[in-house]
Amino acid sequence: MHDGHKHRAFVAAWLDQAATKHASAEDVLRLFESGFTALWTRTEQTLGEVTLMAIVDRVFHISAEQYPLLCDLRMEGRKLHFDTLRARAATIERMQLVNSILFVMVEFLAVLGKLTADILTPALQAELMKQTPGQGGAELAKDAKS
Amino acid sequence: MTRRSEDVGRIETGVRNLDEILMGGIPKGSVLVIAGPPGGGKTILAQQICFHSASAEQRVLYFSTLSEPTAKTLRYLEKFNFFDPAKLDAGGVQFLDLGEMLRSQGLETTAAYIMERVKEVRPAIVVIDSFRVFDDLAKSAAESRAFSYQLSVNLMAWEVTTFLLGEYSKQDVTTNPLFSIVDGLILITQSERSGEQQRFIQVIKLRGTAHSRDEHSFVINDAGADVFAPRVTLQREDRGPSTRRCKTDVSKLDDLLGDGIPLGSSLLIAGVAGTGKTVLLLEFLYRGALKGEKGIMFSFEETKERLLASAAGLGWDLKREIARGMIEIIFIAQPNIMIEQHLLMMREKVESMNVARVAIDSISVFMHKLKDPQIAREKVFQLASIIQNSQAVGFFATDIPYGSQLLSRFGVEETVVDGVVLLTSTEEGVDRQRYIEIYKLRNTAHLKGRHNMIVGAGGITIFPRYSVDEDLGKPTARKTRRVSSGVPGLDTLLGGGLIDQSLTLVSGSAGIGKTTLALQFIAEGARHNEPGLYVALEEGPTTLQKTAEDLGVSIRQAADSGLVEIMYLTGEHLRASHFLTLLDDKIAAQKTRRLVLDSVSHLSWDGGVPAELRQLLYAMAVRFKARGVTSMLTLEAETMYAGDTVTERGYSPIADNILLLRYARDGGELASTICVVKTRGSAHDRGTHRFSISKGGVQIVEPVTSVKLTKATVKKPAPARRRA
Repeated sequence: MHDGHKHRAFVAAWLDQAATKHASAEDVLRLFESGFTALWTRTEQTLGEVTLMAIVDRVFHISAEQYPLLCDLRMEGRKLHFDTLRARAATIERMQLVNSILFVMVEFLAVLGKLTADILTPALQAELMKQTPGQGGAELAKDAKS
Repeated sequence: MTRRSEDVGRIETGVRNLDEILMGGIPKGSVLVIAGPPGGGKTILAQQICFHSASAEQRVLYFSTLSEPTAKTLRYLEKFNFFDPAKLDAGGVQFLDLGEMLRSQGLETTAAYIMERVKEVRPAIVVIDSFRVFDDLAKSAAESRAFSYQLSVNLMAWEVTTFLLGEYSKQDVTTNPLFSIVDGLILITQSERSGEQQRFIQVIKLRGTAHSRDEHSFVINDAGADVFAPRVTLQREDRGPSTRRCKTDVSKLDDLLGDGIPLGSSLLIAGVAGTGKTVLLLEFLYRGALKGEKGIMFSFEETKERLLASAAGLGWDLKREIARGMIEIIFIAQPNIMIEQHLLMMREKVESMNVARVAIDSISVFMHKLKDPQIAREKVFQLASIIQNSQAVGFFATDIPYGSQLLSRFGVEETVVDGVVLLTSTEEGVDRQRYIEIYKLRNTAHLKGRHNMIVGAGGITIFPRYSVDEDLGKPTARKTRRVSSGVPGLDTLLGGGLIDQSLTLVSGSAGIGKTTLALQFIAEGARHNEPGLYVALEEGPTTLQKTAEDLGVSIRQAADSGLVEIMYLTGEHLRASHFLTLLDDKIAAQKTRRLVLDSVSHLSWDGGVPAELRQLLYAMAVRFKARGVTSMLTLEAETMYAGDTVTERGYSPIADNILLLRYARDGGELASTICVVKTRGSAHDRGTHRFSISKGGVQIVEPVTSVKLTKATVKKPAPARRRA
């Protein structure tokens, strides 16, 4: 449906910069939460909540098909909820965790890019790059690339 | 921006010409409303688009609501060519009925169901037919708007191209909030136009496109919706004037048309009924076919059978040309004419056959339902564009009302076309004469004025009044060679004979011997093996030969061998234009060196005006010289005796030499006299001489010294003298 390669490369680079190999699963989830929320916030200004909810609904639906861990992803009150993922984060393989997060982020950017002819993409990428929890994440990025 | 626009993919509709109206199809992911009255063709249009696009990879969800039961939809689908049962269900198109759900569970549940199906099937296209029911079931306008907006946004998020069909009118467009939510609106209407009920399709809005905003007519046929949009699809290609020309090969029409008709040109063939328009069109195609140029005729008046019969009557084997694919005739009966539909049909035919010649008979009938001259003008322009784009040549017949000064039915057609050929007929005496006139031909130096035309065995014969041959009008080198007149004693009076290629006017009283003198002139040429042409307007060949033999001026042997030819022209050939053409053709064929026209007086046909006759004589003189002919024209004087005028009709300037043959009283008898009045470029004897006619013909006897002239203003006979 869309060409996600450019977005995948960008998100992987963001993860590479923002996370470290010693980052805990909780750190990774926090990074995911802050990154996704940043994208939501920036997009909502332009597209409005109704449209954004429709888009996110699609993104979450497709993500859950790919990664059942993401089955209960939802946005409520501008807050991202992912109870199942959070509950199982400590027990699943790190690569699976990273890849599932990568998939959601890439899908979100890709669908937004497709629907808006990439008009928002530079702003969204800039917003994402600001999200840096601090702990080094080179290892996380390697996992994602593999 | 350009790059982004290109990034937005389009869906081809599969509806003829609709993609051209949309300037490239429907942008993917758009939400469109197809609005129109019941029976307008909304459903067929949507289904046509769906089946065109659907495949196992590009699926379609077609939701029916509370309008037409799905069973009926499927039943009626079968008759359309676009319907492909292999594309149903897994093949691409799924029909889903929402009727029961809407009735029992309301809007929200139905909308949720729609989205569930979308998430499951991931369709490229969704149709909701009809969407109007959601408006009707909503408790308020606000609820309707919110519902429409939510559904549109949800479908947009899934990049689904959505068609919402509804029985909305043009008035609803300004009041229903749905139309501000959606990306596009296609409006279908029905109304009476040009005397017939027609369907129209109009793209009111379509975000992200530079679509046509006009109404375009369409029909529903086996293909589904068939849209005619000549305003969009019949654009004139930007071409400069063509350097290549068409020669019609129709009689001498090409003589009138100068260098020929530039390819890509359209000519109006205008005339009242019975002036020969259809024959001209048919011959235009027939002559083209004979030299390998394909042609097509669109007839709105005569059936193919009648046209074939007409052609056969003129001696043309049109059936053979049709059989070998050189000509096609398409007949469309007047009641069946649909202007826009047939415009496109004509374009397709012209392009697919790659024709060089196109005939339309007639555009006045083709456009008979039109009331607005501006629309007529546009349609003629579109026809002309078909011709120009294909670099063919078009002949468009048009009927002019009797007694009108117009050049066409609407009075605007001639402003669009490249040329106008006017066909007229007038009563002249007891006859009705046909004329052809090149009224206008862009970028071409054509021959002006009316030229006689007849329609008979073999087709059209055109008699140009004078030639456009540029060489004919150019001055030629002065000739010095002399040729003998064949009249004993006359060459001396002429200063040594007639100058080669000169024109001599022999003006004489009745019975004085003009014909005898002319026969001697021809016989003399024959003696020198010079082909001679005796054009007799008064006496037939037998009489002339008998006269010549009686006088001992034999031309029979030369006539038998073909060296001399007597061309007897009866009254029907005595029209000025006919005459010139006949002579020209004969001179070219015979390689004539000497020519007699006996007599000019018989060219004064019914209705002919002196000015026209003078123009003819001038054209003849120019032509004779250009063809290397020494000529002699006889002219019957109205008086018996010499007077103070030479030809009495003002023809003197045309002639190089003028011989005046008059009677004079000599005692109680009439004496025949001759006087050389003029020899251009030569000295001559200006005296009056008696001449006799006996065995051997005319011979000069002696100068006149004491003759009384009954009407003479000459007080004293001038002594014979030579002028330097």
